[in-house]
Amino acid sequence: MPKLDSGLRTLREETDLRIVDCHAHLWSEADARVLVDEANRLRIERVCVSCLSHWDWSEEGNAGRGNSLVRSAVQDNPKLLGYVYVDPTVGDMALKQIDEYTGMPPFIGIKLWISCRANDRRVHPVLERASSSGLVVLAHAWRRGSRLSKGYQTLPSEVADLASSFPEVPIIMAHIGGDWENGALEVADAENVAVDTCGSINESGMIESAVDAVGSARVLFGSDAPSSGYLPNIGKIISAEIPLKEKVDILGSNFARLAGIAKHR
Amino acid sequence: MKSKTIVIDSNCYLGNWPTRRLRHNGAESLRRLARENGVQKCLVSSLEAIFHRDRTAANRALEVEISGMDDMIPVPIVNPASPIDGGASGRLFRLVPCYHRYSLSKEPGLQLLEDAERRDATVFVSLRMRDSRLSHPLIGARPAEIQPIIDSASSFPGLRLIINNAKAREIEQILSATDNTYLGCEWSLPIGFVKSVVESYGDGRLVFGSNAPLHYYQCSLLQILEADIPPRSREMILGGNMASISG
Repeated sequence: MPKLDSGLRTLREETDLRIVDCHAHLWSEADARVLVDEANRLRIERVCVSCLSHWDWSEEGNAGRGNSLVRSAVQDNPKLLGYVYVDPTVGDMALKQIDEYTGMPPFIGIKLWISCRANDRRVHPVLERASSSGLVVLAHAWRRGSRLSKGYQTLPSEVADLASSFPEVPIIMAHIGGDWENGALEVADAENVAVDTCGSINESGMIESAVDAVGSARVLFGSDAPSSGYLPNIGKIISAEIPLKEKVDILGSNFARLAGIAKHR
Repeated sequence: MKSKTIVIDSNCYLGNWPTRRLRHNGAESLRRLARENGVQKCLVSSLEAIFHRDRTAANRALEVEISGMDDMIPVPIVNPASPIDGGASGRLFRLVPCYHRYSLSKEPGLQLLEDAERRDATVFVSLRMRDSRLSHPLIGARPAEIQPIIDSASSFPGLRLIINNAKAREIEQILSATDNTYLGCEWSLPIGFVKSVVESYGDGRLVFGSNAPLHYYQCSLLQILEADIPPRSREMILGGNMASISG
């Protein structure tokens, strides 16, 4: 009878594995406990979160409520690190949010509102803040393959444009750009852009394709938890037909190095 | 982890996908991949039978390809809306209403399910094959609707329906409304979802399915292997339930 293989256990047995999740979310206060308990159970070292509720950016208080929720969570749970989530099109309000939240160590970066084109000139002041404060920038991007998904989402090519204006700022393009067959290729020449693998897409070949396009050092593990679990997202990396060391680097070391995250047990 | 658990993949495929290249889409390669992941038996359908008009030929080609492989069980794909398919005569067959665009709660889907119930057949239904956001514009498949599946499961209580490639909310919706359905865990599920289903509905309603080679094996496998559930529940989901259902 063949060995029933949990690839995660095998990887732990064979390597000094650190798992750092660069892309997870809070929808509510209760999610922090869910993320931390599951991370403890699976020995995930750190989880980086932004808040996906309170999306009415026209109200200063409303935009701040989501970031305030993240602040409470990262202060209460050392396993969590935060992104301040801003819509650059609201101008000074976005910069005020960045200044209010990123002065504290548990905040490691800025997440850009998904529907704001990354190459919109109004994003530049936000990137200037990231540059001066040593923050990473997380940019959702999704090139739609069909007409079935709704709403504008910034494109990988727009993330590449932004990156070329701020080569000193580390930018993470989320979800390998959604359409993973092209997403990583579109940012391949922008050397300050890494791609994260998070989300509900489990298609075989997506990790190998990203590694081929940008190199394994620019591929980062993310989950999109709690709506998409840590386990299927770890499963993508474990299944990929790439060298063992590259899997280990993608699951944690690459992002820890990029964001300057010290070991935390 | 050494285990006596028999792992059965209720949902895997051979052949080509029209809009992307696949690895491990031949019988020997898929079988090797399954074995490397601890899977002992695969219920396998033809991807070409989804798209070819002559499904009979595609289904037959798959049977030829896996002939002599006792651990690869053919599950032919049937389209009840096609006048040349000739219906499903075997004990196992798969429906893909997302691509063939019919409803299971209307004719000719109803007649097919009535026949299946009478013949004690097991019917597999793929709700989708790819995330609709990745669907090629020339194909534009929409996921199968849930309510007709719930209605037909209720209309034919003796029927066994295996529902593959469902999202979490669809799994909940179907489980809460039916007693004769079994749900695969191929899609990315939220944290704690498998545990919550086992606690709410018992361990007899989930089955392991990979959607390989379209999906990575470990995505669905890890969701069960590392779920916070009792060992017996894990064994049932990995293979015990499917063994009971399909004999």
